[in-house]
Amino acid sequence: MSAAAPQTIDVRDGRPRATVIDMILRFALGALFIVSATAKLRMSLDFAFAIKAFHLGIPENAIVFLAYAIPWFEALIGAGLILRIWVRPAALLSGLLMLGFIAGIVSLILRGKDVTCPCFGSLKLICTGPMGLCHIVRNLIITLVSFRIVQAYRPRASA
Amino acid sequence: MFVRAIAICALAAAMGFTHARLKPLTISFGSAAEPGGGLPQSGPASGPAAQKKPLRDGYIDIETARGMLDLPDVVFVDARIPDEYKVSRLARAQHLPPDVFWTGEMPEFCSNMPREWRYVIYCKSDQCDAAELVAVRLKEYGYANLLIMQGGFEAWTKAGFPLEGRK
Repeated sequence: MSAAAPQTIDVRDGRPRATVIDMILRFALGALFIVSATAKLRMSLDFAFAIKAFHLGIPENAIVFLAYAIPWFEALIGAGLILRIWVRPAALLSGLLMLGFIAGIVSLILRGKDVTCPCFGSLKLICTGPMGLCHIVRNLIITLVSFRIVQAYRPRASA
Repeated sequence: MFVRAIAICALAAAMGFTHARLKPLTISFGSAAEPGGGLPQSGPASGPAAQKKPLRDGYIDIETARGMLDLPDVVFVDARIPDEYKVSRLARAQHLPPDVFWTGEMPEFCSNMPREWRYVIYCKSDQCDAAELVAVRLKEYGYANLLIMQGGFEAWTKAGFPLEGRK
């Protein structure tokens, strides 16, 4: 009886393990990020003020940089998810971004600050008013979906 | 996967940097502090009342704001969230939270309120930036006589100044 050959991943033949539900989640998450990026880029000033309200102690030109860089980051993630380009890195970054936002919101709550974010523009996605528990729960769900996509789209190992 | 993730981050940073250079933003209202906040002092010329921390240009303290409350050409603007405004506000204050500007259309406020009047904007406290954002937005719509009340609603309430609605 011969020893079992070690499993190798042939990237050319690698097929993701994603189900139809994973595909739907991927599209939905991608669309969400595109909408979010568009809203933030339309309202750069308001988003810059939302970042400023965190009182991170960074200079104003750094705040302006973040006010543009974060939406472009979201746009690239959204495009990657929808077009199935670098899906796993995009989903990973999506999850990490959400965790970063959650940390920021927790910081706001602990410091007693009221910050309203134009995260989705005039489309108030479930949570309204200043950032709080609702936003944390919402972002947590997005984080879980993101990491599900990272897991679902790993290449299938070929024997 | 991680190399590609870093590439995405780098591309986003480059795009953000370029966009910031092409379309810079002004995210502060007023300039560095000057004595008296740029307004004529009506209080004592010396003593503890005059030894106040200088305010930034465009900012006034609550005592100065109190003195302006009954002036006919002065409008107080409340930049807090609707729930807070509904509960209690400065007398005759108009409600104008920042998210009114998110639709991209000119708010009704800007259609109705004269540009030549003076507007004193406040939000919850010094920890809130909504008043500053509303001031910057109103400047874009041609309002020049804008002031921000230092200390916000909390300071006003603490001083026992007049309010509308229940406290």
